[in-house]
Amino acid sequence: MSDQSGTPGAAPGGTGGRTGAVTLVDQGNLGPRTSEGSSFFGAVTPIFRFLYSLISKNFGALLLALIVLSIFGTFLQGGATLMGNQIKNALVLGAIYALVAIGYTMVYGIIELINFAHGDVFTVSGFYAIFIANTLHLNSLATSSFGGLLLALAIVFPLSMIAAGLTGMAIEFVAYRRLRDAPRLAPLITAIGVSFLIEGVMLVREGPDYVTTGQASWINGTAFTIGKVAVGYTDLFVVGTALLLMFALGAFVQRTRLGKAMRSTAQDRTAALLCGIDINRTISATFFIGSALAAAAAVIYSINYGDVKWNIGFRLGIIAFTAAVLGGIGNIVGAGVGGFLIGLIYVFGGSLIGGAWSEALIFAILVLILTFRPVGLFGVEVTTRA
Amino acid sequence: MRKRLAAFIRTEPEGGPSSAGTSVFWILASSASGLLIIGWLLPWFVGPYDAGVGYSAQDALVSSPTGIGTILIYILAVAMVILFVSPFAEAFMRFRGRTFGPRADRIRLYLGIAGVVLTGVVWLLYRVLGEEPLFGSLQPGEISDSAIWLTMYGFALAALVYGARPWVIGRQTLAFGTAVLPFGIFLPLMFHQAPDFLLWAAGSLAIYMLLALGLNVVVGFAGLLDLGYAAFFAIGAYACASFASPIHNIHWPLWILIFLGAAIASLFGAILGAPTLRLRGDYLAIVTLGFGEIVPDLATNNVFNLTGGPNGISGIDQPHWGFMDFSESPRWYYWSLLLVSIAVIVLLYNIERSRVGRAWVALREDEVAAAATGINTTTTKLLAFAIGASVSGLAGAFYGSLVTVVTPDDFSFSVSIAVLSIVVLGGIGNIAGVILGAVILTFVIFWALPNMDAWSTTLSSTVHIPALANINFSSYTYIIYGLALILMMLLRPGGLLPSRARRIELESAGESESLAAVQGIA
Amino acid sequence: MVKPTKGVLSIASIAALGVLAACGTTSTPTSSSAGATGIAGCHGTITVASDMPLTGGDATDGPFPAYAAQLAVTQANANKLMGGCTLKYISKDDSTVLKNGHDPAQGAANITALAADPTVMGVVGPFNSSVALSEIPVASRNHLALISPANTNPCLTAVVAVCSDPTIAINTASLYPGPHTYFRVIASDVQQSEIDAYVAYSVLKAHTIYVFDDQEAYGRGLALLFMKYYKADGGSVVGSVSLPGATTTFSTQLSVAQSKGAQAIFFGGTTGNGCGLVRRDMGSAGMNIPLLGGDGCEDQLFITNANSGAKTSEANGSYATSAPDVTKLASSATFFSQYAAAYASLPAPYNNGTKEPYTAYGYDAMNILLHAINSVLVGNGGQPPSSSQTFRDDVVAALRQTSYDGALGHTTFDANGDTTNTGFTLYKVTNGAWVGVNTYAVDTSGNVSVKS
Repeated sequence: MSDQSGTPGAAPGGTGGRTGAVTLVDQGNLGPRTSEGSSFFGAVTPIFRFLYSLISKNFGALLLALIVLSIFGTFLQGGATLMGNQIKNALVLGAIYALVAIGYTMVYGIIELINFAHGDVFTVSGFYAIFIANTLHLNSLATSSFGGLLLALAIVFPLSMIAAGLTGMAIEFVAYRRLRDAPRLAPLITAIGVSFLIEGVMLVREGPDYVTTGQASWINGTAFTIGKVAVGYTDLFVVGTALLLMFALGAFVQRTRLGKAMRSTAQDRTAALLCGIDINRTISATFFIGSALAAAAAVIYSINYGDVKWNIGFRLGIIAFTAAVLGGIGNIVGAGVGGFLIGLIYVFGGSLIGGAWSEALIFAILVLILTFRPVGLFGVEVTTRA
Repeated sequence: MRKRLAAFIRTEPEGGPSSAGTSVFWILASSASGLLIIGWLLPWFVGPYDAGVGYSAQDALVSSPTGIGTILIYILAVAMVILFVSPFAEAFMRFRGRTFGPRADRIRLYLGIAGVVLTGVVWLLYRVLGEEPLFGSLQPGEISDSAIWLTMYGFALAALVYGARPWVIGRQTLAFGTAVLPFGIFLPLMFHQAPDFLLWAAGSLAIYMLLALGLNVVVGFAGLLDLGYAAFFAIGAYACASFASPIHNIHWPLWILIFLGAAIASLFGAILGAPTLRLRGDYLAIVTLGFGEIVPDLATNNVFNLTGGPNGISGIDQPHWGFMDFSESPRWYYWSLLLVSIAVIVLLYNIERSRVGRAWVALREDEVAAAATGINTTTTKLLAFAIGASVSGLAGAFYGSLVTVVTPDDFSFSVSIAVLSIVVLGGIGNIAGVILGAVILTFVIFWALPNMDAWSTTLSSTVHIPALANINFSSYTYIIYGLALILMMLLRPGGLLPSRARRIELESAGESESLAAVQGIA
Repeated sequence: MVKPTKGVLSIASIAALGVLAACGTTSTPTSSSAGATGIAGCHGTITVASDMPLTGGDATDGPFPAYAAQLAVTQANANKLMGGCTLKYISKDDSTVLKNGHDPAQGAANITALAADPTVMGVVGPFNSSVALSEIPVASRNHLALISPANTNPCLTAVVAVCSDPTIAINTASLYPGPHTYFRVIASDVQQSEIDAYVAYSVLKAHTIYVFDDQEAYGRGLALLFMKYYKADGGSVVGSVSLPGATTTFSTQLSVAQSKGAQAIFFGGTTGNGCGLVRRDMGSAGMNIPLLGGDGCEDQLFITNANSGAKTSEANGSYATSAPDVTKLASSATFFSQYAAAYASLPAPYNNGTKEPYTAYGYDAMNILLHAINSVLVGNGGQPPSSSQTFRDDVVAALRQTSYDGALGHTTFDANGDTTNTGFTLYKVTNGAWVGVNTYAVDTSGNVSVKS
């Protein structure tokens, strides 16, 4: 079928050659395999086929072009100040999406399951953070001095990450482990069920309204100003922490034994089993790390925005998943980049065409990605094994 | 013990397995018993306003202990007891390895017929002797039409089951349909004191059942996980509402709208299904989820000035054909929905056994192999979406007409999940299972949960535990959904009534770790 | 062949016992004692009902007017307002678990069931305008009186220009297939938005404004009306956006507003859909301009949400219009103390009627209904009219003549069923609480004046 462009090893996501980003996951990561069946688009006419492969090969470039255009459009809309402000907003939002997206992508890479409950792990971590901060009186500690702030952060981050990681592991153990080899429908429905269960528990415990986290006042002040755009310490904190964690994860996956085990299990589970890797432990570890990252995102979110609600994880989860798909599901760097890209699309799309359409735009992007380039920007085409 | 029970329910009274998986005979026989006991002791179930046959008939008919009413009642009581106990006795005997003969069946047949006739006589006597109007309203504590109907129905059902036993065992589905249908048709006439509310509930049940049947086509027959099914419901409802309300000043009659809704929804089903053709299960789910979110969004934002924004479309027409004034009582909706549901069920049943249905099975099991045998996967998938969506378009037409207003909130993700839960709970791919799931879940959602708050309040004041009154059960809905989905998938992935294919799978167990399974191609 | 005969005798004896028990029941006497005159001789049952969302997301709103209505019925029974007739009360819940709150379909089902009961003479409700859209036609068709304590959408009673706006799209005439039986004791958003526009332009002195709405019926309607009146006053709307209620961050749109030089922000919608969060994000973005909201923003949750950001006192300086502070009226003080006494055993917050703005509205609505029924009885020689339909028509006619003094002050209805007791108070957050600044009234030609 000519609509299957390329063999393994073809240039990923045509951004006109390698972007120079470090590929932290080996080639042959398990992205979605295109089916051998007839393609709706490919079957129609040669013109469609040509257009299709054009868009497909250059998807990344087209997307970037679109983003640059919209940035420019914002510039026309409101001047450099607006553009600068929106870039700042986009980066902050994108950082949070990126962290959550990585969790999705790790889980999918290893057991090929969309963990619907991941967004809710994010939300529940937010509540964990509130609980930890209130029980240990971290709010007063953090606002007292810079040292106090560092200490508070050093306490709240690990604790909530561990709590969330344990939650993620528990979910995997109870709900997903038995269904690992069941037909596709079963684990997916179970994941939805877990998501609803967690949301229900949070709704009953915390109520239907926003809950103040009390952490928004931890970091205050403007770091520096570019023109009229004020960049606050909070913004720097959000983006900085996200990048730090992403690089730490990358190093972990690349350099440690467990990371290697995760990569090999993602590549081929049976072969990994043959190599003596404990699959259950590896998968549990993957869930732990993914959920821990979601918790980090939640703490950042609490500090940045100051409120959490029982259902914020659902929407955020779907958007983060779109980011993961955009970057290439199974690809950690892709998820990170995808997160920032989605942040940019969300903010600039909302700025230009009206906030009511932001979410619809994201879903439209999702459909477009899955239509034209299902493997994502950093993914590679993999032929279906016979 | 559980396995023995399960095995028992699957075998017919004579021994030998039931062709439908669950013996319809036992179901009908125990339903007859249940109806009889409810009809006799109705007040214990619903309160003093619906008096049961046994509870108060005596009071109405008796002037002296040797009056004709007493004799009638005692005969009826004997017949009732015999027929009530019959299924249990029969089961007991079967465990012992013995059966009743054909004479016992004939006796029970005659008892059933006698029961029907005598109950009718009791009712007539009550009305005539008591100088009450034949179909009028009643004082509390007196015998009600509901009790009479239920008792009569119980007797008739028992007569059918025991009198036509070979037919019931041989033609299971037909027997089930024949037994249940009159109940459905006469339901509006059966209940006296709160007919409209009950009919409304039945109408909602019918709409959700239609939705679930449509989703069953996509998820169950064709194996395509659709998480945004409410989108098609929305499209159907809005389309029909646009043509029957003041918003665009078009007023077409309902019977045209039914077809229109189905057609438009199936068109969009194909359109929304098109991008998903090359996608595998998980991605398909996410994209359909996306559509399920986009469509209400578009409706809220009043796309193309068609949908009326967040207020939706209000003032939808309700049909008025001669003496059938739909706005006057929900019973006309109830009957139309009953008719439409039966038509849809028959249609889907036949489609499942047609070429397209078999193509879906092939697609569901192994897409690559299906394509290799020459099945056009594109057309097959699109057809699944289109047919599934058309059923929900149908439901949308009725929904808009019944409630007279459609708003974007009516089609949120919760609705998609509720419909999915119905299919999963009832039995993926099994029409009967889906119907059962719809009955159970609508009962839980629309009746049990809202009333549990009231019950817990009453209970808390009775047993003096104030904490009970404070539990707000409705806020536990999401937890219930979640648990239902998880437990179903972990314990009984085929649903309560698994489809035939699934049953065969489960029976020939042995889920070995095949390579294909690991790679997730299956 | 074995015939199971066990238990026949025991079942028959149970039936006999049942008979003996049943012999004790007597039917309700339908004939009155001869000689009693006036209302004391009234015989029959009269039922009134309330239809509110009691569970789900509306659980903190709906129960208050329902409890207040119930209190009114209890007091009427104690005072024998209906004389010898029995007065009953039914509480209906129009929320469903599927919608996690109010559900128009459930509301229509409730009114259908109530209308089928010939003793029901009036219903207090609904709470939400979207539910009213499905309930009003049913009530109208059945000639049943429906009095709402909380619906503010103007198109429910009268046609105003905004009703034909495609995003509102309510055809008022189609809501009334029968007679006009719908009333409300609360002023509609037409008045509120006129006052809002006046406040924004002349009081807050903001000549450019950016408008948010929460994409729901109430919020969008309020925002549209506001923009219309604001422009008529001479202001200019630099931008508007309609965001779904689940939106968690508004920084994108606030940046746009900032760049366009908006001098104030208007939020049409409820706190649950982000009113307080907009204020919080304004603080984070360093915007020092006022925020104005409608009555959906005037609650404690707004203050909590607004203060949850980096600036913990950000709520101070926000404005919102709302129904006049009923707790300030002398007429309401007795009501609130009676409410507290009657419902002391309920869990918080339901034991305190002041926790929700519409409690007193539910009380007055029910009382107005009860007095209308009473006047029909008195006018008919103390007896209810023979047919249920006539009774209902008479009740509706009596409602139109209402002139009632209650917890809300003096209420009368105009030809459309709207209350004439309008007036909205401007509130400002001062020291972490909403404090009333001024009360404004608007007359029919749109002139706003300070009432108090």
